[in-house]
Amino acid sequence: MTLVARGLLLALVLVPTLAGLLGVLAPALGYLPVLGFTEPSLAPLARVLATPGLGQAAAMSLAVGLASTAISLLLAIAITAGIESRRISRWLERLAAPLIAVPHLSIAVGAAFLLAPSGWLVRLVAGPLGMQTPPAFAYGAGYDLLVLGAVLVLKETPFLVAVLVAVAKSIDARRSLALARSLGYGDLEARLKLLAPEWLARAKLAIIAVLVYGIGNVELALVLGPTAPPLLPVLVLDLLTHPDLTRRLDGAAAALMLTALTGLGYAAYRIGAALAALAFRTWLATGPTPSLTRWLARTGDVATTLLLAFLALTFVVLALWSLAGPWRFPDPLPAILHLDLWQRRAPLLLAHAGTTALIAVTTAAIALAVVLLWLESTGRTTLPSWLWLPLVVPQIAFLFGLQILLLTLGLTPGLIPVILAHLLFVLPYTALLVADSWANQDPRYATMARSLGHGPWATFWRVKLPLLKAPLALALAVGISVSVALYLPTLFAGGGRITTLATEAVTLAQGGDRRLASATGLVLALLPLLALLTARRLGR
Amino acid sequence: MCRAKWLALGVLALGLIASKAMAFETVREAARGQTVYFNAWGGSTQINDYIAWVAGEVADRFGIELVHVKLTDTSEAVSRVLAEKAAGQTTGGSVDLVWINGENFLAMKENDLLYGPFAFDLPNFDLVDTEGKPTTLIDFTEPTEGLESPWGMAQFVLIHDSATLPEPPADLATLAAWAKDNPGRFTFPSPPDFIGATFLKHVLHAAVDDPEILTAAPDPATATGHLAPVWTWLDDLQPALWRGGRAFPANGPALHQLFEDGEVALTMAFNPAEASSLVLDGRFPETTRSYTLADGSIGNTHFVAIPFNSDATEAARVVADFLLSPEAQARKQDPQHWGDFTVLDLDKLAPEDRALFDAIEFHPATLPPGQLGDTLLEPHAAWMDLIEAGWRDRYGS
Repeated sequence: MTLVARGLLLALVLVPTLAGLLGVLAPALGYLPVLGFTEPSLAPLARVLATPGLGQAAAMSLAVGLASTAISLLLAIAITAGIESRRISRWLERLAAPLIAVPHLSIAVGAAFLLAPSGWLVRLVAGPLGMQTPPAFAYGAGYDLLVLGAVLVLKETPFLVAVLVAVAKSIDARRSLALARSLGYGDLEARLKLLAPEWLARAKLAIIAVLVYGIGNVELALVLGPTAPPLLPVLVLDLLTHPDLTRRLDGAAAALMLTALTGLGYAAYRIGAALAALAFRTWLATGPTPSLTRWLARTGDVATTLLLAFLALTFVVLALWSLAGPWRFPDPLPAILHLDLWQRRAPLLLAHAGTTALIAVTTAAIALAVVLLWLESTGRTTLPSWLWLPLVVPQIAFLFGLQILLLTLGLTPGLIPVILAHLLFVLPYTALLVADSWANQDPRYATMARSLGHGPWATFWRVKLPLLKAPLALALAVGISVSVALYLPTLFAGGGRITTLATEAVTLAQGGDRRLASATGLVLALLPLLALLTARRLGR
Repeated sequence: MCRAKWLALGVLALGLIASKAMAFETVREAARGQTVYFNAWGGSTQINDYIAWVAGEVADRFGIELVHVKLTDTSEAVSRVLAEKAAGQTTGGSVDLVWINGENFLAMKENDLLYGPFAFDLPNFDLVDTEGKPTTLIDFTEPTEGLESPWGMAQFVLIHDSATLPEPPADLATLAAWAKDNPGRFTFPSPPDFIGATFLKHVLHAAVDDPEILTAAPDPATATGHLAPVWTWLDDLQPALWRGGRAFPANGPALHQLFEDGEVALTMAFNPAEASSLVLDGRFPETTRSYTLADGSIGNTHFVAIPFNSDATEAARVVADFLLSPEAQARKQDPQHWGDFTVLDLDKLAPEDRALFDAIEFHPATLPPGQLGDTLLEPHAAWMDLIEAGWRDRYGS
């Protein structure tokens, strides 16, 4: 049983990821026999290095990934540190779960319109200012990166808050906090100074995952990123899908470079963290600084409020566009609101929502079953760190190789490969959530059940599971929301045959009917929220 | 003697047609119950609706299940078939029918990723206007050799709002001057998007003295010289483009969105009826009009092809044949449904079939066939590679 559980986890996560990486490494080094490339060579790498715009694409990806990670992390630390002493933090922590569940693609679709020169914010002031046409000015890629960065921060901050809060709960800090208080430190400052460094150390993998996503994600880069040149992950996708098939080699080489870039990003993060630690030490040595702490907290509040307002507006905009008749610049609101689009597109949206839900629920349930099997049969609660591998390597760096692997296994692209690919990304989150509560459960209940003559399975089913109902339901909901938002795994493993709300949203947002894109974004956001509400109800 | 000869020929022709029809009957029988995964660009709701109509018809008539796999770019399907070939999957491929032309067709043909030839054996292929529309046989500069079946005709048009821009720039020279007078109001999708690439092809056509050289691969020795005027023209235009030429819309629909938002004053399409469908959709104002450049405008044909590892080649052929039927072609040409011009020769049609086409009304935003001006041919794909690479070097990075 133990072997089965271990093997299952290996086969579902480690093997496909490593095989996928190999499947990219080989063509990157010139080996792709089907196209007649059997001699290893560095030519693909050289060709990619010579691609015009490569440097800029890489630099932009690195910058947006690093900046969004740093800002999200600072906000998350501030929020987590204030949970005991500040109302706003407690309130935000409660918001974290639904915020994590909101798919970033929905936000992206709304944000793109909200912040455009012809977008809603400008339209609201265009009338009073007498503008007839949108302002035309020569703004560069920096603007796109700013919007992209904001959406990334919105997506990552709640996730980091959840991780840091979980980490903080596992540290017994009562004595050190009491000591700090006796030395005249406020609760917030004491936590920032005494506990935050430890949180960061323990949350390392989550931070890397956030950084890698910021640098290496394809979907947000497609929807919000600059185009000339695009961000590095988009460049990789373009090469991997180029009509000239020999460019696959270059695509693999570029994917390899993207992986290297995330490594570089991590190194930069470490350097930045070391520099920050120097400043931190100075602050640490100055004794209590309540006014500075208050100022920091207030800055964090303003930033968080702005982000939340931005989030709320994106959803208002999505709702407005999905109901809008003609809506031309500079009208602040659509001339007519009607349900035409919803009526006409209901069957389509329902079909996509059905596929999305089917994949998400199946994936989340399998992930939960596998994790429970592993925990119950191995008796361990510390997760193997390779479980995080799919999250700390850019998705595009192994999904192309994985596609070839799935085909070699004779799996026709379709639902099953998509579910397998989704498991790579859902399993780590499920495992993290479940293992934690599994480790914290009171072992005396199980012991008592066993001493009353129940077998291990009866104990498992009738004692352990019911006790953990709430965290297990939450793990299911989180698994569902992770799956719902996945774009690239669906695209590659589904062979394009599987249309989910996420793939549809990316296609539509890149160019298409903004009304339908908005409606898709709304339904996309609805699914995880429903899952979360159901989980809360079940967990009660 | 003469009469007997003609009679014999006639009988022979009839026999050929009859045997073709009979042969296809067996294909139809085999097709029943098969599922066709039709990989087609899914960015237009109108086209998606048309394909959904086709799916309903082939289900009713031939018992075929047609599934529309919506692509953001046709190259996705090409790469998938390639990945399958890489994995040694020679049957049961994920793509059964693909909407294709140009460089994607060339890539699939050169890599032996196509099933066929099959197109010439489709009964309805006999109705195709291969003489009047030579691009139904030659895709860009590549002979189709029956490996793809024509589906529709495309012609490049520019679109403007006659209320705000009553006299749009008539040719490329005036376009440059107008753009400089109205900075930020003109742009094109970034190549390799096909709308953007096609716009650049017009610039290329205008730049070379002898368009004949564009039908063959460029001579490396002289190509740079031929391309120089293209870059001069674009360099001159660059600062006057939307966002100062520092960013470009990703594709045609993205450019339409900028036009709908009022950011740019011109948009472009490879389908003369696109403007009217957007007007009917409520997205573009009623005063929207289309026009072609006085320099001539590029026209081409788009096709459907069947990958080598499809398990549903019979059903895919039946669908390809249905797409060529007068009924399907007429519906496709109707701007209410799609507005994509037919590949058929209307003179070859039976009167009742022809009436379907004559009944189509064109919205004022659409230029009807015959008012589209001179058709320019697609340059050889290698020219486009040069232009795309050159454009990326200069402006795309």
